[in-house]
Amino acid sequence: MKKDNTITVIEPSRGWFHIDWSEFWKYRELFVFMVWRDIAVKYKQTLFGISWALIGPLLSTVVFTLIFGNLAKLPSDGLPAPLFYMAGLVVWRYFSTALTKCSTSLVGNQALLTKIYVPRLIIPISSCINQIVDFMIGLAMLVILMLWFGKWPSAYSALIPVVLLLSLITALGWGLLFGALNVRFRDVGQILPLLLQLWMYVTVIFPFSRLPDRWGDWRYLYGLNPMVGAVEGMRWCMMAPYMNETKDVSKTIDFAQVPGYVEAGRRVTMKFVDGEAVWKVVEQVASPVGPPWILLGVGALSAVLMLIIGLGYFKKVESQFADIV
Amino acid sequence: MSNDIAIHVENLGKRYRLGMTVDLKRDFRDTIKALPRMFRRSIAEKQNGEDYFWALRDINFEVKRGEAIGIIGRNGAGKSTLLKILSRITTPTEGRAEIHGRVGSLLEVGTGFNPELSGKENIYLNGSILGMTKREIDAKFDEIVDFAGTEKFLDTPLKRYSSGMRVRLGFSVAAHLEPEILIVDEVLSVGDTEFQKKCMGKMHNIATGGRTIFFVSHNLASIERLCERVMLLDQGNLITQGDPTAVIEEYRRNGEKRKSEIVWDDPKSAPGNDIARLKAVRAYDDKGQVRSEYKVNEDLYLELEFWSLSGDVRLDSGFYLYTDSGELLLSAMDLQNEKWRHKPRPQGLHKTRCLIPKNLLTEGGLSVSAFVVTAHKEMHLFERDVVELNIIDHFDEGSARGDYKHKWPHCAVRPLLQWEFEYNGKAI
Repeated sequence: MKKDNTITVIEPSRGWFHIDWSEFWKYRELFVFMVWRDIAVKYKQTLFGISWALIGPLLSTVVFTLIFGNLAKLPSDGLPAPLFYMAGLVVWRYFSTALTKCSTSLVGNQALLTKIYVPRLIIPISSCINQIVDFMIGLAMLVILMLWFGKWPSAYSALIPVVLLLSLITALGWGLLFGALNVRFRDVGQILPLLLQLWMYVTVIFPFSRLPDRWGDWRYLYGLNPMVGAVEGMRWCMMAPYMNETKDVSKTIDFAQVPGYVEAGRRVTMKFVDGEAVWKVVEQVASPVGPPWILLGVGALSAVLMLIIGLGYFKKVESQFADIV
Repeated sequence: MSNDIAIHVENLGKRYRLGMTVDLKRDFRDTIKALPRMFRRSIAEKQNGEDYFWALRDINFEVKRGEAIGIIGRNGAGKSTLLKILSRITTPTEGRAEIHGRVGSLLEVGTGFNPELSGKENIYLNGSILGMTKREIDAKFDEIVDFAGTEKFLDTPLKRYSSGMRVRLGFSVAAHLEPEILIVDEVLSVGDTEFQKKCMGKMHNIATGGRTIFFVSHNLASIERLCERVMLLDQGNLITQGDPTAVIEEYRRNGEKRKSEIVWDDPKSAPGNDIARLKAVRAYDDKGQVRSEYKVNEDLYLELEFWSLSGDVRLDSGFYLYTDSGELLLSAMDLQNEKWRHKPRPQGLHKTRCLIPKNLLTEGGLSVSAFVVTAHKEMHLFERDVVELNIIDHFDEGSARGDYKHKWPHCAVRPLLQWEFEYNGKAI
């Protein structure tokens, strides 16, 4: 028998931020097993197995392309609509499944709360990690789709891990909060799908470049939703050279100049402002899209703040899990 | 602290808030329901004072390295709470405990088993949940499989296993965990008799092999065989500890001492008011013998005697039955009787008795509170926990169990229901 000098002290809970990091190291193998278990179980006894990880993003890409690209004709930063949406959806789907799994992980593993002691944080964290497999599959699918459109992944794709990390932290922050709340209030299970649906529409569809210029730096508040940074970051990392944003640089002209422009084949518009006709010649320039550093930065701040809140709440109520789950 | 201490416990206590386990919807519903009561003085008001109860309080003890300790006590005595605190599943409300050495706790067999995974995969998963490293599992793998006797099914998903096989596999993994301190709850009461014997043998090896064992069971015989020292818990307090035979003897006596009868002789000092006072409350069986332990399928009578003092007031009497965990199981009141329902009770001693039919209650402790009221108007007396009963499970036929001999899930009631069957051999 091994001699072991560990001393375990059991005391009333110490609340908010008492995290025993060395314990995580001790339980690292369990962590690996938990991640492996969820991956192994996910596609067991399914006919199409791992290909479900492809079917999901492909199907939503088709739907988004048809509805938002072809019907609504929303701008897509100069990219073919399928690439634009798929890049966003791959990262979004990672986030939304990770958040969902994370939020339901504690309730779904009740025996691990009530019958044994394991560091509780392992449960939600491992459920966020294992979704990375699906993310990788989605990413591979995206690359194939890009090649099909004749576009090579840009060198910036080495930065994909940053995007993934941002999504992971966001999912974890919100997931810890929701997961801990879910132990007490099962309403979380009802609210989450609604929330995620709304969240998706404000994240995946509308490119940042289309926010009106006159909002100035206020536009970056959009980045408080960290997934905006992640989605924009994903598109930029993979396809930066092919992206451009069109800016409206129409200028006002005198009435006398109108025939000249029209003859030159330019589009001219007229609007009444205070009862006077104002003529403009339409001009749009396409400029390359720059890296979304600011969005990523704002997103990271917001994600880390949420992680602190989530972790704090989780640790605060953790000691009651076994009693109330 | 000296080096040969394995567990040191100081002033340990755990308080639960009543109703903490219920969901928000029920909280909400109860609040709404409670609203009208706030305007009406009623019996319920009296019992609402206690929102908290101590599942465990002022527990102090020490366990030396290599000792085998048994914990006994009735349902709700705090045994499981103590194990859960020592296993770090839940935190104490006060006090502290120190554990020296690696702890393995076994409150359930096969925790974390996943039905989709194969037997082999589950051994690794369950082992790591119990705190074994992959290397340890590798090294013990053959022994584990051998002990469980499931070699042939290693690659079969666990969901195809029989429940017996699952239990065997689960116990086998746990039995090969080699902690210095092993905390075991009633897990040996599972599986068939032969396997139980095998488990007891294994436990015995562990106990004599110099490891510390902390063992909870209802099975007094196995406690006596396995343990060097026994602790008796009652209502969250550590009543006594010491030599197994002596403590078990005391526990048995204690069980009989559960109050099956309470009597007040003097009508002046008995609980109550100028209108009614309580004389006695007792429980007895169909032969009239007063006792506190009843089998699930035995009739049980509750009797209440009270003095009517003024003689011109209508009086109704009844009981509340609480489970050991403090929940109100039922409320019974003599409202159906024709004799006194709408008439004042003349001065003198009145006796009411009520039959609680067999095959209604389920196993566990019950405490009886008695009251005498004038319904809708006034409460004259309400005495909490005057009689305490123990309903015991057993394996004679004539109960909901039939000839089923395994663990019955914990329910609020265990009625004997009528079953009807139809069969049509041609319907395939």
